Amino acid sequence: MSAETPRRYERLLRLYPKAYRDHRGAEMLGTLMDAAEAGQGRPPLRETSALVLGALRARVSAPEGLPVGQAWLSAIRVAALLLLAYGAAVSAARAGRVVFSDLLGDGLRLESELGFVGATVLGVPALLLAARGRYGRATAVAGAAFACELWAQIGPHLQTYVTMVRPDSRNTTGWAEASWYLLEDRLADYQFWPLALAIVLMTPLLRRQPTVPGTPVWWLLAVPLSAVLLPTSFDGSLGWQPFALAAVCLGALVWSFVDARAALAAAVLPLPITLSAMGHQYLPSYQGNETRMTWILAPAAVTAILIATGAVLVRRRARL
Amino acid sequence: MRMREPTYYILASLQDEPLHGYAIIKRAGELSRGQVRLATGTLYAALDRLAGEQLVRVSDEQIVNGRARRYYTLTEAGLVALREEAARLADAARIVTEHGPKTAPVVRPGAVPA
Repeated sequence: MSAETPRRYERLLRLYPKAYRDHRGAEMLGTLMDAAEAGQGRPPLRETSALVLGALRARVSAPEGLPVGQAWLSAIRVAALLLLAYGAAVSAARAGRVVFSDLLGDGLRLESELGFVGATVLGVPALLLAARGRYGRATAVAGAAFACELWAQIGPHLQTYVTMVRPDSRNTTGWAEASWYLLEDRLADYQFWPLALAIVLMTPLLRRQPTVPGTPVWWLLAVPLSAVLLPTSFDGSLGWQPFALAAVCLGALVWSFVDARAALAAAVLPLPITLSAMGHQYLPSYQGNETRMTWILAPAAVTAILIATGAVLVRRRARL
Repeated sequence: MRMREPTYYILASLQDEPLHGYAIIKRAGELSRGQVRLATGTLYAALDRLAGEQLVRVSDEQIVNGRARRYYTLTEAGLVALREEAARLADAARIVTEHGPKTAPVVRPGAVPA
């Protein structure tokens, strides 16, 4: 054993939180030294990785032995929060232009564009309410945000319909066709899906409310991060996609070895792209358009890999 | 609750007497015939969890050659859990070990069963 070995192990043990080190540090160092005297020179990779992983788990208080059902429910909670943050970021990216370019600049072009501002203003409290475990109120507020976003998105199309079609031609069939067209337009837009999926995911949380760990206010940080790292109008100008989304999913995959729920929760992030691409491929209005199957299969494969990895790890961590 | 292999051997190593961390690593290695090589980080994460589940407890603390050592011992609940897991593994093994020499007939692809 070299004189450097104890210092190397002490450095590795400093990765653990102070409270844990105070309780276990001396004992762990003693055990590491006993093992080192038995023939180990440098800290072996196996030992180093176990210490780093143990330290990360201790730092984030990753739950040990969570039953599989509770782990899934907890992952659904985080997935809903991620989607609410993403939904607020999608609206905020458009609301920024409405406020800074239109309202404070040339003036509002269409009243419906205020829907983006409304969706952002409602999306943030929906996220905070869900983070605090008030899932019923969060679902109601997210529903209102979704309605605002919908109004903002279909407003220009309705305006065009009312302007272009003569009043005597605006019969029931005409409105039905226009409504169907607008619905298909929304379904094929990835911006439609984050809030819609968040509302769906919050449904099981209404009955079986999982515990709320950590500080809910930190979830607000997820909104600007989503605007930059996930596909939004703002991110579109940066040109980081699809690499930023892939990096987020890869990060979640790696982090799932610290907290197995990470992969399950992040699996929902590529879903808006998958569903939007499926809309472009299969909805009648888009027939004739060439949509590359890669845009459906690649994000769907990422979701499948994340769910499969998360499911295996959650089951493994549930064992004693 | 199902046990992972390292947990099983950690509990098994404490059956006879209280042991400290490194002694548990060595004993688990011997009992598993080298199949379970516990890293220190893995051992203490498992001990934290086992202590939380009240399956092991600290029975003594000593300073030996300037190194802190805690000795761990099995609790009653730990012994019960270990025996239940051993019985489960034995049941699973019996399905194979008590199986007679009778072999299933070979079915060749394309052959029509009589």
